[in-house]
Amino acid sequence: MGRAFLGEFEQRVLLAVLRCSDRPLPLEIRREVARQSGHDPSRGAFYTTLDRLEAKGLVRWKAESGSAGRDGLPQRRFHVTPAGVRALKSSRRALLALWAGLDEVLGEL
Amino acid sequence: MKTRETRRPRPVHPPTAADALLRRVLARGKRGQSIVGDLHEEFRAMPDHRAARRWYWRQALRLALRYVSRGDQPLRKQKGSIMPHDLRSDLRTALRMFVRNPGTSTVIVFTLALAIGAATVGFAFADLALFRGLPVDDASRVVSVFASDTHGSNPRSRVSAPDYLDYRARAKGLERVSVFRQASAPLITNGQSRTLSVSYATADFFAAIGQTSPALGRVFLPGDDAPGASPVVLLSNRFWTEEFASRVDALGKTLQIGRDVFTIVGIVSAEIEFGNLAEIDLWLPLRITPDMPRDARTLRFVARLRPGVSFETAAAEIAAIGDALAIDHPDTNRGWRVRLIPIRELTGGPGFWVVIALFLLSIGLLVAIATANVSNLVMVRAMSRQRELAVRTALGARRGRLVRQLIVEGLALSVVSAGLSLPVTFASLRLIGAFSSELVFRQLAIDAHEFGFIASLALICPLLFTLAPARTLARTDVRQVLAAGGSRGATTSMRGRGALVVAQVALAVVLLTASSLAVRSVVGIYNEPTGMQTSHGLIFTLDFDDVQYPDTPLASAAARATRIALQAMPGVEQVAMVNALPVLGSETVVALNVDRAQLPPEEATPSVVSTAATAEIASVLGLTLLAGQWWNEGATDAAVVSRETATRYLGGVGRATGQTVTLSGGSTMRIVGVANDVVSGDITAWIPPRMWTPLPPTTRRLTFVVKAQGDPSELMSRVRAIVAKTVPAVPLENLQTFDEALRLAASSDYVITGVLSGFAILAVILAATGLFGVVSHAATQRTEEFGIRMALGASASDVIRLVARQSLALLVVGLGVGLVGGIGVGFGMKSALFGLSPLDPITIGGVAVLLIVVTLAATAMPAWRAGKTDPISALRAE
Repeated sequence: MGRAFLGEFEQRVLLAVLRCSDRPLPLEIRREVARQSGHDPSRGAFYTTLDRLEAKGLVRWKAESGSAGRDGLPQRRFHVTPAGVRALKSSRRALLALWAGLDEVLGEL
Repeated sequence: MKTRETRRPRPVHPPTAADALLRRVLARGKRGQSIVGDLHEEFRAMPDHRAARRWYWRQALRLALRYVSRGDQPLRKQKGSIMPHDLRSDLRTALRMFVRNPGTSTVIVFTLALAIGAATVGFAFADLALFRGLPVDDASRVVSVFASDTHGSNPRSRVSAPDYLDYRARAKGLERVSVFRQASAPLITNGQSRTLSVSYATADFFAAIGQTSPALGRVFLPGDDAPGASPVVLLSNRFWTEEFASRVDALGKTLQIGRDVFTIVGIVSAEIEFGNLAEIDLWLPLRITPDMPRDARTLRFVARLRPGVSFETAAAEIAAIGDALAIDHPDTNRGWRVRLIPIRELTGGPGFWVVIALFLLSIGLLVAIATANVSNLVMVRAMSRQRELAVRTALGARRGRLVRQLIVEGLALSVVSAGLSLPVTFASLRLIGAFSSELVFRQLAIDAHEFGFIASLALICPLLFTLAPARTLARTDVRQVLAAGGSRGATTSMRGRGALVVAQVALAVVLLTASSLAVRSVVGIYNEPTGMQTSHGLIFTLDFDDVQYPDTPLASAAARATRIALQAMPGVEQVAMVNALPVLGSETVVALNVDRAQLPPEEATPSVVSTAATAEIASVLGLTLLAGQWWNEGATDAAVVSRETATRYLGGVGRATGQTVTLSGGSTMRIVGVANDVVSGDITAWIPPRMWTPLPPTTRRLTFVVKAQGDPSELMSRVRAIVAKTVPAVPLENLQTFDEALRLAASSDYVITGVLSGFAILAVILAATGLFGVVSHAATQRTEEFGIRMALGASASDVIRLVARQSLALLVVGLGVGLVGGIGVGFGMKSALFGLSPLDPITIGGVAVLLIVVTLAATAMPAWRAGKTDPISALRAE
């Protein structure tokens, strides 16, 4: 498998999954993304991103039966796979390397 | 407040339709279900239910759009999908184009929907005449005859009873030779009488037209029309449905018609309800005896070619029999030509086929104009994407793939348009039905034929309107576009679009010319004087049938009493009774024996339209006496002839008075006067020779003509009251003003020309929008050039002139070509133009002026905008 490249929104979603308690629901993940980024992501973008992360093997989910408030529809609990954690780490490394040494320049702004 | 405490919160569900949409676009299984579940949970958490429903719809639509237009990774399982991946991605692109550019897409969809809808209305007319057609099985084997005298003045094709018997006996090439005639008959129920439309037919009639399987029971059997056979009746399907609620036990019941009682033995198949036959309530056996007069040509003839016999053989045989009958019976048959015709030719006069041809032409031209219009819009859109497409070509997309993408886009648009064209079609047909009560328009239907037509248009149109843009795209020089930003491609496309607009204008002019000629011709016909003064007339019909009035003198007395009561009404000037009104009634044609020395030797036996009336008819209808005088009330053997009769048969207006003529029944009439001509029912065909005779007291079905001093419609309620008081048992039929009745009789012609003009107007609008689109687009593209010109000293009016010159050039070419085509079509429809030349200067001038006005209107805006070009900003944009 080639190295997974992470987009910014993908990173946010992956980090939000990790920040939530054990195996969060999509509603919780979305709330976390909103809290951290300061704006509410559209549901379309959010769910398609989850699908994409899953297709890249960075998240997995397990379904459990839903409550009456969901009309019995199933709900998914997500967790980040080891590959997901690796992808986050390499993203972070790459970004930090790029940031390094620019404190002076950026500090002026 | 117990109720409040016990009231449970109403269970609230998200909109079902939105859920259904989500289920369609999201993945099946738990993945999709869990997303819907998340939405449900959020929905439930919202306090305001109405706001929540709106919110839910918004989310569902956004998710649907997101998932449908997402190309990177299909969520639904590939398995079971019938569309290849390429096609689906083309469709997705088409959807994206629609969303990105809703204005152009909407214009395209509406243009196509209007054109397809209008074309379908035209097709429904043509379909009714051509494909649905006569209720005849294997129409090519079914024939009728056309009999005409030397003046061609026999209405349509009627034969007499003895002639029919001779044809049946002698024609070896025909089988199932039969005749029928339409009439009205009184149905008596509970002592009340009601006039029905009936058809009398010989027993072989249904076999002749191939309608031998009825909806229920049987059709006529051999012997049903023999003298002494037990009286049977067939019900039309419509009458059975309306009067018997389609109950099976109608069979075996009896109906009293006049004084006879008939047993219901069958229900005729609904297929037969076409054209005039659709008005028929009952079918009765027609008894033919050889002693009926040979010159009473009242029967319509239908027969079938015997197997193995060609039409030509049978036609030669019938012509020979006709000639033989003319020799055997010179008094009645001399000069009459009889020829065999295929049954199709009976559908309408020559004008009918011209109308059908015009409809087909209109369909073709409308679709062509709309297609050209859409083609223009697609071209503009393709040009604006030229860079994108060039990049895709450079990256390795094959041109065929790009063209296919264009076609798929067009197909998607035209399928949407086809769907929208249905309401257009339905609304138009409803409008037509509202204008004319003619039965034939109610038979215009949208069924498998029309759906097939719409579907094929939806498939063909995109191929046509993507043709030109696809060619232009395929020729695009990628390097040049990428280097220069597409200016070269734009000029070649401008030339193509100019040609399209010229074609559009030309086609619209053809359609406009043809339909203006048709309209002017129809209006001209109905503005021709009828020979009668009808503006103060009020007419209605009373049937003093032999059940209510078994004795003829009683019936006649009742009729007279009604006339006198009406005459005494204030506001009434004069009242007359007539057996059948000219134009509106079904008039009788009788043969006339005159001194043959006055006739040219080849002249056929004279026949005249005979109108029997009371003496007041002259003043009620405002007839003018040209010679002699009118007969007096009470006369029985005096007659007044029309100018046409006098000049054709009696040696002229001056010499007619005083002559004696013998009618086909044997009665002798003295001509006492000559009156002006009055037209007949077929208003376009001929002014018939006519004779006005005193009303025989045996006439039971009478049309009353009331001449009012003022507005005739004000008399209506009082007329109704007086009739109800004087003859309570007789139903009052068709009470209306004379002019209204004439208008109704003409309404079908007006509807047809109205539909044609509708097509023409639509064509002009489409052509105008096409012109507008091209001129304004060209003006926008030349903004930079205008800027330079103005910077160099050109004035605003110079620039306006530049823009106008372009559109005028398009107009002149289009108008010229179109007028030539329109005049050509005019010559083609010459047989249906009455008193009008295809070169009619008013029509041609009007079309030209209209087109010039429309062109100026379409040019005004772009020209004005070009005139206001600011040279500085135009150049800075560069």
